[in-house]
Amino acid sequence: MIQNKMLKAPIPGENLVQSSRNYAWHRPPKMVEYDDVIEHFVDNYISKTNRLSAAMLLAQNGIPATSIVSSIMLGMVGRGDISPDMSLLVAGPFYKILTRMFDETGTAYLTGFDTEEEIQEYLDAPKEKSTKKLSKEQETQIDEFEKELKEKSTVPSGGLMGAKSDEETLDIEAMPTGEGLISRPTDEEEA
Amino acid sequence: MNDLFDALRESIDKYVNVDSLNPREQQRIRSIYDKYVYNYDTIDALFDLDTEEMDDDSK
Repeated sequence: MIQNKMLKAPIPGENLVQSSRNYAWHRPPKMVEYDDVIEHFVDNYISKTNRLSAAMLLAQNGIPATSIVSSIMLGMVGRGDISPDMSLLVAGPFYKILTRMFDETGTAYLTGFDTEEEIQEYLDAPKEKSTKKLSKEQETQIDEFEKELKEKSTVPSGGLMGAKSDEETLDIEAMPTGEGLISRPTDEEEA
Repeated sequence: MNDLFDALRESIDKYVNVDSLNPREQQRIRSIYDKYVYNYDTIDALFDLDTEEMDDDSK
């Protein structure tokens, strides 16, 4: 039997009687201050490397920055973190912060307001790695740090799983003594 | 505007290209953000890494 989608459609006015308390965005938002929302965004999206690199990956693959910001905003509204009105207020600053990070890391991205020529230029551009390079001082610092790490990371000796060493030896009697952990009382003590 | 996506897009456009708006609109948008700590100037200076590096060097 073929189910007709038209028959499954909501009855007009059904939304007025439906309980909407289960939706996070119908309850008061968690953050109501603009400054708090900006700090939350920086702490949870810009400071966290995995999230920022995910955003950079999306941008490198042609997802416009406006769409990335919109999806972040929609997620925050959906979770009940902020109200839809607040999302409109903070979308601009978020976009600016995100694109600034893309610029600093040398990530090629579409702004979302590009003309056809700019999009074509973006598509034709060869995919290059980040242009940011380390200075000589930074490279020598990294080399020194790696050397220190190698010197410090000695092989652990001793214990059951440690490497063999001549210094630490522990003699354990192989022959059974016949005694348990608690010493037995002698005959005199019993009497 | 049909949905939140369109509204967000317009909001971003107005924030980023505020200088291209008419003076009255510019004033309206700037006055919204001027009430907060993270206003236009703060957001601009927030991730200006070149300036931060220069500040560190000067110390």
